[in-house]
Amino acid sequence: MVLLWIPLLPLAAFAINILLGRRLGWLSAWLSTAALAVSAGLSLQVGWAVLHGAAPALSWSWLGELGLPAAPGAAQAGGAALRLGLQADALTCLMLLVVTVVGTLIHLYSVGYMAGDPRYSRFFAYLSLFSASMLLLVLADNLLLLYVGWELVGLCSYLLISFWFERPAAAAAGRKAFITTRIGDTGLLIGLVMLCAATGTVRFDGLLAASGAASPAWLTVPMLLAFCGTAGKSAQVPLHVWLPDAMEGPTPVSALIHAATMVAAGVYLVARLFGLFAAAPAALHVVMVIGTVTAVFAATIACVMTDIKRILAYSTISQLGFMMAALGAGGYAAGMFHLTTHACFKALLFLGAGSVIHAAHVQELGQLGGLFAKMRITALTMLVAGLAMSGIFPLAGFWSKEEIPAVAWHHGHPAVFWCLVVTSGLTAFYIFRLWFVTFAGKPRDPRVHAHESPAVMTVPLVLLAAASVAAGWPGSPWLDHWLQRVLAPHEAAPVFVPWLAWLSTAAALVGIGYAWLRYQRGIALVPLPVRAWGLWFVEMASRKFYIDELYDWMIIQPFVRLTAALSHMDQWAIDGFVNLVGLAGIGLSELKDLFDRHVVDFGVNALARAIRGVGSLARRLQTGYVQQYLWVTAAAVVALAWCGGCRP
Amino acid sequence: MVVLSAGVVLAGVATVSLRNLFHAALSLGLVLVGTAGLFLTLEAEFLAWTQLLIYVGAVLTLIVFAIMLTSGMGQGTLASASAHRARSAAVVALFWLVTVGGFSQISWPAASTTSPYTVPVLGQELLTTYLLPFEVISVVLLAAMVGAIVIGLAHVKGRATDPAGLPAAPGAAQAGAPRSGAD
Amino acid sequence: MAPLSAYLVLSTTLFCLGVYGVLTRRNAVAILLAIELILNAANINLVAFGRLGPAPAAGAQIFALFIIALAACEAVVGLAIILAIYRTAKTVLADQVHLLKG
Repeated sequence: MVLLWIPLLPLAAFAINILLGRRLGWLSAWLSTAALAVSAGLSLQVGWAVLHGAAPALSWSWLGELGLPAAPGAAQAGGAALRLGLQADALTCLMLLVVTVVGTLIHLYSVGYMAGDPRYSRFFAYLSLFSASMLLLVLADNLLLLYVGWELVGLCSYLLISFWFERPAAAAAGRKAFITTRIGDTGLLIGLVMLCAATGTVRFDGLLAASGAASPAWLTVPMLLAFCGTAGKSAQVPLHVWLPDAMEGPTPVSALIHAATMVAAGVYLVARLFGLFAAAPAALHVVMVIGTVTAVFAATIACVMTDIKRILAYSTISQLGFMMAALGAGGYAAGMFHLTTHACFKALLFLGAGSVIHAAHVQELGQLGGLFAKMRITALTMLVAGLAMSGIFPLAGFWSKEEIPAVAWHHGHPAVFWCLVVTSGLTAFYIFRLWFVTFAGKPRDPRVHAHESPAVMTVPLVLLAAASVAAGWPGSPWLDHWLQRVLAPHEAAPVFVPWLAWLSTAAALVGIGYAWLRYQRGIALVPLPVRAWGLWFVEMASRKFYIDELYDWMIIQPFVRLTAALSHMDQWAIDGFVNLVGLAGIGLSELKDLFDRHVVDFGVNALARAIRGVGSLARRLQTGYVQQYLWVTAAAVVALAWCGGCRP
Repeated sequence: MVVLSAGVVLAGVATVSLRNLFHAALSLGLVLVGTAGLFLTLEAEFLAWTQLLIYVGAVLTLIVFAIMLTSGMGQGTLASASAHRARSAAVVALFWLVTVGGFSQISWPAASTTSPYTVPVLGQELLTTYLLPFEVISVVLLAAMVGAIVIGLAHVKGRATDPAGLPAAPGAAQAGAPRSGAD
Repeated sequence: MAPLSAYLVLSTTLFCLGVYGVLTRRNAVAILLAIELILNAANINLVAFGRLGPAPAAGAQIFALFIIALAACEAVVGLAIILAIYRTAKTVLADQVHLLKG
């Protein structure tokens, strides 16, 4: 019952805002924020209960007797009704807290950021709908409800990315996001159906029981397909192309959806189905490989991007790759831990970037610079976020990020390990590149006048900065890896390996140092010949390795041509048909006209003429001429006599 | 009798076909005279003379007067349309055929005795059996005279309608037409 | 004396001529003349039947007498009417007086 309120409150806020938003004005924003804040409180309460051993759950039976086939070893007998519902375990509670707390702070921030926008209340309506959908997603105890939430967050993402739909770039980006994630979602749906067909249930507990410890042959393909959904939602290669374009949306949207929550849904899915993935090692392996590739790939591109939000977008992709790699390598707890900390500092980074954009009205690095003096709070909070993300002790990222290569190492994937270490270095490099160029040095564009943002925007920044510092501690050795133990009680507790910590810190420091040298001091360390080769690489990276162009050539153009052809044929057929119908109609009406004129009119006219004829004939009896009357009389007499028998 | 019949018929034809009204009237006179002769052949002497006296003496004279008053003499009376004449002739012919055909099928008994009806006999009948019609006819004659006088009266100035009931023509509304008082 | 049928034929002929005249003539007075023909035909018929018919009676001649009297009355009244019409309609042509026209 408490579980039901958690997503219902934001849903109610959505309904009110979408219907009455215009009249509520600024109140709509506070309504959404309050709804989510209350949900946050409820989530805390639920979390507290779960920590103390409770397992709140709520389910109801749906669709009666479905007659689903029973799979070997299915927990439920075949033919049972479909039971759907909500549940709360440790994983769910973690996600609940992340979504509600970070979400509330972002709602608060948006009050200031979106002030003055003509569709102010609708923005908050969409945010509330998104919150409700995301909460439903994490609370679901079965794949079907999860899928419902999955699709809904996809819809909200589309609505919010293209919120300023007057800009064609925004509309196109929304479309791209929706279509790309759709491809993934289709895979997820097919996988869901296959799982249901094989096991006869969609509930997680049922699925886990059905898969068992062994690795059934039928499990691999559905899990791969489910991972397709994850790849789409969490922007893994090759379905990552939508996330950078999604930066066309307002910055709070980028922060909430594309940094902290929606993209984390894919990670959550893998975590939720981890038991099934573990039973299909091939699929898990694929997850790890793709995660690693994504991490490296995106990090390289982020190093050469010039738009603040694009840098952060690729950074998100890269960090998601980290999480995927962790999960794929078997580090369930590590991956979720990183998700939590990443939510904090990535949201902070985005909100800070939003603050800069709100103040300076530009996003390009080339036009920014020297903002430290004018936007102290923003600069300092972003510094904290940058340090956290680079993994500097004792901030949050240090604990979560260093665990992931450790997991890879311990599970025997050295290649993955070294890739992740290098990527950590790149991560530190590009984030500090961003910081140095934006805040340090001198202003590059004299036209840019910056000022600090209002309190309603800076307070969330500070709060998130505090979170970025402290969020890692629950999972650190100081608190005896409390978070990991809660999340995955049966996993081996992670051991803090000092040399790994040193290695990743060193990588981070190298990255930061290089960034400082290059951008603060302007020293280029790389010698010329190497630089030439490097420039080529930079060029490729800055073109995002031409993936978008590839997709366009391979998929989109043929599809467009196909649809054009179909449209022509359709027009030809339908126009032809319609014209035919029209001609038939015309022909019919002409026939009818002929009939009307020659039969009906003819009849009517003939009748009139007949009457007139008879009348004119009859009239002749009444001439007024006496002699004629007499003649008629005489004729009558003759006739009567004839009839009477007088005949010659 | 044959001669008389032929004469009568010819005169009758003349009466109905002559254009000049006066000549037609005169032909009528011939008819009347011929009829009188036929009466004589039928041994109805009183009737014959009465016919001559009344019909020829009075009625014919009256008609001639009327003709003269309405200037029918000079005026050529155009005959009616030929179609009209044709169909009238047709009807009439049919009637003749029907009638003659009708009574020719009847065989008449032979002529009876030769006891004519003399004047005293007629007088007797007139004043006994047929007294009422006799008186009535006197009244009718009186009424006819009075009626003719009334109808023939000249217009009195100011009367909206003619005594005959016809709407007054504008010209005749003034002092009586010059040809009034014919009777 | 000629047979009855001869007189009948004669009277029929006269009658028909009279009817023809009534129907055809335009001048009102001419119509009157034709009417006299008719009357005379009737008279001949009557007298013939009275003398040569199956039931000879004096009444036939008396009837004929009355007819003559009535013919006179009728001629008088008729002519008076014709004169009256002539005064107003200025014509005696039958086809120009069609007040009965419906």
